[in-house]
Amino acid sequence: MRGAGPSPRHSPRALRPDPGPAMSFFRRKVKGKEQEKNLDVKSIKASIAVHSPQKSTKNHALLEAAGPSHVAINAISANMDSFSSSRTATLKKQPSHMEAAHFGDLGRSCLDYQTQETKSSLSKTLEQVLRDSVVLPYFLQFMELRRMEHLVKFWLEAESFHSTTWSRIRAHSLNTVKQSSLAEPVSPSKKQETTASFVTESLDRRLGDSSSAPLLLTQSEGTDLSSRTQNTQNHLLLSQECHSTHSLHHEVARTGTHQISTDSQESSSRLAVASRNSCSSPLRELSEKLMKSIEQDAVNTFTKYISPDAAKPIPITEAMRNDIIAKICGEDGQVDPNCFVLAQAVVFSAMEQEHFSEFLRSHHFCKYQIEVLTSGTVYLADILFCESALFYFSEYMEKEDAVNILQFWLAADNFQSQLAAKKGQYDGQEAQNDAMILYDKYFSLQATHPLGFDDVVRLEIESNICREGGPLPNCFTTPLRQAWTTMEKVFLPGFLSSNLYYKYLNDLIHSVRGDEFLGGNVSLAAHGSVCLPEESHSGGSDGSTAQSSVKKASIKILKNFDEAIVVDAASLDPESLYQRTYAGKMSFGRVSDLGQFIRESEPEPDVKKSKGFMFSQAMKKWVQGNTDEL
Amino acid sequence: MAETYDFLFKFLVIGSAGTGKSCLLHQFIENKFKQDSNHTIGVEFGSRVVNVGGKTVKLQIWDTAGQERFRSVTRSYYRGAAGALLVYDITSRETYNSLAAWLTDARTLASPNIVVILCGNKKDLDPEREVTFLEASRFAQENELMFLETSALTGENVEEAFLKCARTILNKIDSGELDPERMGSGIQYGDISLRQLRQPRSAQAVAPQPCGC
Repeated sequence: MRGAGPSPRHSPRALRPDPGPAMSFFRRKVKGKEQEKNLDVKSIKASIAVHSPQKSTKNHALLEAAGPSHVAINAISANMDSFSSSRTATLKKQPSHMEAAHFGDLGRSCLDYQTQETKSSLSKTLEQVLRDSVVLPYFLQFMELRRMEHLVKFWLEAESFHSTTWSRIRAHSLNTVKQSSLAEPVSPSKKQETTASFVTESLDRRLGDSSSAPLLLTQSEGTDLSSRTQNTQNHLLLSQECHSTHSLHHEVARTGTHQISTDSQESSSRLAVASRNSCSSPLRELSEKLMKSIEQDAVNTFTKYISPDAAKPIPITEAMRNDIIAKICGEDGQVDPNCFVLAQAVVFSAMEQEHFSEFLRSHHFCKYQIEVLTSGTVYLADILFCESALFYFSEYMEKEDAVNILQFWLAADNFQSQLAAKKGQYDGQEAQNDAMILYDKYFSLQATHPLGFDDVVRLEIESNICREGGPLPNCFTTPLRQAWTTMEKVFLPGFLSSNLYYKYLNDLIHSVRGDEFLGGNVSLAAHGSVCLPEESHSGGSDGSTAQSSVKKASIKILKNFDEAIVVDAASLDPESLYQRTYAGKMSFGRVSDLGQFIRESEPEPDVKKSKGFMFSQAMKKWVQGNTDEL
Repeated sequence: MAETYDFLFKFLVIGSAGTGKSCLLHQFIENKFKQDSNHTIGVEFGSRVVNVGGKTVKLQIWDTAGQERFRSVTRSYYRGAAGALLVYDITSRETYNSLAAWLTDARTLASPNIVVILCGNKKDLDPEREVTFLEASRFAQENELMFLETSALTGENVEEAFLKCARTILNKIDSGELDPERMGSGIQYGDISLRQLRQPRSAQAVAPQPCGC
């Protein structure tokens, strides 16, 4: 018996979905189910909308604030975004690619495949949660219930401070450079444009801060900045007049200092030059304003989260607190942009070890997963990289007799992941031995679990495994991509419309409902509109479950006399059923619903002969008879 | 295959490399010893339907690689397991000494409520024994584990280990300690109850009843 009706079952060798009515049928079916799910969780979306706007500003700042330490992360994110957007195009190309059997674009295919890897919306690490604007509100809700939301808020605020401070320091450095070069014969309009653009950039970034104090400061500072820009223009004209008073010797000396000094000395010498040059006083005030805003932000964060008098101090040691104080009130009067980094690491570790596992098991995370699964688009990556979804998908693949494809993908993906994690520092012989195990199992001509890859793929794998120095972490990428495409094109649509997928969603909804009732009155009141539709839905399911359990118990008792005797001691109902069965056995026969006389004593002599077939037949007769009576 | 079952449980088999995890799984599913045994790459899973206390239970058993280099990738499959076999080799004290670390992983990554049974494998190699039954039994008691010594070669106690674990899970479901419908419990209802969950009651009445003719 098949679970979800007929679905196309293609030989792995073909590796191509059958274009035609079957595929269009599945496409329509999936759409219908998605619409149904959207209706069910409409109220959930309503509650989500309430929370999202509050966090959008802060996350906007996080995304926009690009400090030096985040350049690499942003580059990776940009690449991933571009690959994700081109995913559909890539998938459309793949069938023809496989038909052509060309591997000339293997490099790009690897990148495409690697983009999919480890990217499941349903399964998140703590760092991903903190940077994802969709799941972060759920995490904050969860932490608020545990009275620990200050850890999350501190981490986010410190992260924002770290990014914006680097931006402001860069702006400050540029202004300092400008001051020292005011006397130089450079184009005034070019420098002014550079300064204005940086001031605007810094202003935009700080507008993203969700804290009220920095916002007020930024607004007043904005006014000052715009007026100072005009003053700067006037002073640039004056600087040309001052230029004529400088001697050639002075210019040469300043150039020499610039070339030799280190960063800190350079800054101090520039400040010295600035103090001697009255023409640059407006820019100097602007720089001082920037540095003062950095200090003020640092003091605000310290007062809120780190000070011993704070309403909700984060759990750090006295030594760390003193270290932070030293970095904020440094001897040179400047705030270290990394003053909170160590405290951030401590808070991150505390959140990860004490709270994140519970969050993943909480109904808040289940709500997030429901949102993803009902968003209208579920990818294979969302299933394969999320262990709870994989639990249902693997059962589905087993029912479809395609478990070997999933097994191969899991094993080869794990092999490549652990090899890539070593970054080239691995034992080539050991890796080759591992690869040979997979080859012998899935690719060899004597394979124990052949998948039907063609000779071209097998020869490629052989070449990759026997490479000098051992196989590379991408040595199975071609068959992995083919297995991935097969699962995505052939099996994912069926899974998304199967009973198992429905059961998966039902478990998620059930978890949300159960936790919310346990959460207490406050939580219940907060989510009142969410509970009602889910309650009616889950209530029906529970009722059906109870009824089915009772029926199954009855059937079990009737089928197994030994068990009936055991149960007889515990409950009265089985006893009455047993007696009825025994009473039925006393008669020579009975009249069925259709009026036919059935002789029940006839099989008795055959049963004594102890033949299995006859015994089974007699058992069926008893079961049917009693079922009719019920 | 068209199997029907009341429950589907997700099981883990964890422990150091070479203790016989894959052979235990193979013996349980195929009822014979796995002669040509390579080490496991990442994870593999198999399944079998058993009858426990009158309930038909399908066990989906995830076999993990014991090598240290695969540990970080296999951890991601721990979540959402209802039960686990924690395997050591009675002829290798090193595998016994690692049990505490494996147990911590299971309870941290899977669930604090996961049902764990300790299996001292290779009981048939008693002359080479390095860990006594009493010592391991004490470890099991201290950590609230069930304990059996098994032999994947002879099949002794192999099925019993899985059934014991499944029986404990069923008892927890009956007592309300475990919620089968909760996400991450590692338990699924079978097709019968699922079909009835899906359809309203009136549809059930319309279903064709067995004819007496």
